[in-house]
Amino acid sequence: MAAVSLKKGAKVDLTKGRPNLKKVLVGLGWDINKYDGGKAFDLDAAAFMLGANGKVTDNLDFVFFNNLKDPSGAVQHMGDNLTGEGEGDDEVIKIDLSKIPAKIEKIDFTVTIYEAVERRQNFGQIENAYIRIVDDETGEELIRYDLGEDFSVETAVVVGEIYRRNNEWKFNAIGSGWQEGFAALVRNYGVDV
Amino acid sequence: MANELQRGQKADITKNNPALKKLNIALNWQADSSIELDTSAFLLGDNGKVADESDFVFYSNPAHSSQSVRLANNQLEIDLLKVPSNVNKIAITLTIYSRHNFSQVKNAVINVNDLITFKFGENLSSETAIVVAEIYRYKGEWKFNAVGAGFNGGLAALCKNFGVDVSDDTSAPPPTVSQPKPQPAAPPQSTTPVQSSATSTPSTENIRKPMRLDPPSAPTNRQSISSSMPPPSTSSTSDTSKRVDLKKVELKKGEKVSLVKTGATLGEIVINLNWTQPQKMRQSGGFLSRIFGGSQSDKIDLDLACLYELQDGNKGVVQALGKCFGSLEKPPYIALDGDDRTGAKTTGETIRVNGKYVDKIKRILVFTFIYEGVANWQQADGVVTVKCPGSPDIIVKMDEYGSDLPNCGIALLENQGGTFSVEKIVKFYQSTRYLDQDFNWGLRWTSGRK
Repeated sequence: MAAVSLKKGAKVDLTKGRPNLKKVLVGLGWDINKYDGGKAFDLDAAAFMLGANGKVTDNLDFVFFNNLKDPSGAVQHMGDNLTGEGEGDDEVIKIDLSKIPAKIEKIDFTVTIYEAVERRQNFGQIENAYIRIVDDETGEELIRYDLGEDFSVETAVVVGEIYRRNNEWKFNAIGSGWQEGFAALVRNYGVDV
Repeated sequence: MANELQRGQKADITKNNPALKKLNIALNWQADSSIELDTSAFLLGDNGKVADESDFVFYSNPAHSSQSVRLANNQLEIDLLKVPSNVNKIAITLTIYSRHNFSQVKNAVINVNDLITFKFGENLSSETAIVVAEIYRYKGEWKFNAVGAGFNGGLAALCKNFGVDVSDDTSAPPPTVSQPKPQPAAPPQSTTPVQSSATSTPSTENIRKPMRLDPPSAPTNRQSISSSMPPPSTSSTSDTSKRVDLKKVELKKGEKVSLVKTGATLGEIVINLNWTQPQKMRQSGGFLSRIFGGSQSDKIDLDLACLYELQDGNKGVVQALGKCFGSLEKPPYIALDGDDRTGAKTTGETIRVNGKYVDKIKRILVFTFIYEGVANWQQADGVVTVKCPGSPDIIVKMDEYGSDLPNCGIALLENQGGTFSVEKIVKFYQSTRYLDQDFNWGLRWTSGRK
């Protein structure tokens, strides 16, 4: 079965009908500016493990380049890619659904431009950004959301989230942008920075 | 009222103006009279390239054969109805002559039919050729993309980006093509288009390495994150309240920083080398690999290694060559993860240092060498990240090229009062033996194979 390709705002089942799905790989990709004038681009993926109020209950539930794994071991960031070059996922976050603590209602995935303000960069200069969710055990791509033309002056994007619904996990293609940057986004999720 | 765009913004041109068929594109700027700028346009296909050199409209080719794009007095006229169907994008560019650059150009603005304006000069400095904007097809309409970014390599870099071969084509404009590039010389370019790069997918089949990356080899890291209730013993929590550190520290050459010691000992120090493997390009985009491409058939396999010297005088090397993988719990307390060339390119190569034994280690010199293939450092574009719990990531970019020597000393870690200082080196050598000599390490060297 081909992966479901989503439009902004779409919500789809992730685990329903897939009782064997335990481990998923969240791949985030982008093509950066092809110009060599100006500063280099460095994009970062992150995951926020959120309680029912939409905030983290613990700073360590913010999984990013300086905290590659949450305390439960459910969410693991596979490492920082500083250049965004090449084909395929630029950064990967692996999730063991069976290990997600009960207090976590949803996990948001974000992509931010590192030092966007200092480097005068924004998402209008990024091409072909996407998020995809893959069954990490079979390699099958389950869900894909291409961000398309939706962004311009934003410096951070909440790409999508997985969330609990009736004892299943669903995926929401959020695609909402932030102009205020990484720190503002992080604070919005209740992380102390 | 014209819609004034910021860099990165896109705007509809025809969607709300269905009668609009002809675009008058005016570029204006202020610069000293000795500075000469030229407007050009590139008519591009799906792949972001010209189909033919005549798709490059410039002062020697002021009208496209389709008559859709005309250039006069640095202004462009585009007849949208005449744009060939295989052209999806028209890049509007500006190049600057001789020794000048865009920092000397003020109040630069592009205006499209008084519908759209974009002040494109505000973020420019060292560039000598820029893409001002793109006019492109989107869902049956034409849109405008405010680009305002470019290249330091003048018209030649611009042409190369859009697939116009300037190297051996006499119809291309000679004055700027021969302009010296301020950047280090690009790797030798094949003159054929690099579309045939399907042969250079990340290679797994012909590079055999003795070990695979094995996550269970990192138990200390895992414990330190998960063993205690928050606030845990890791990260910067102990001395700066509960703040999360959003910083990475990029070292300049010769610069030195110290790792932060948050507990009784350092945590596990993870030194990772990542680099750009020549990739098969995506169907769309993927320009970078073409610009920095070199011969696409070159695979790049960098090996991460280190020289170490312990406080008790023991010295040695940790590297895949000779299977000197080291050990975390026994001397040298430094271990190399196995190579991972399985396509997980976010991983690269990793050396770990057991922070518990920092007192037993005097110094560590991290280096890399190209085991096989061409020493094309620019193409590899290597980055070393030093991670230590509680410290911001320390980043050492291998951003000096121009060397065909196969060995590169990257960073020196020295024990200073129970923690390590990290210093950026990035210096090239013929072999590890010369690296050894340069840093007075004093090992005996014989050649080896993996």
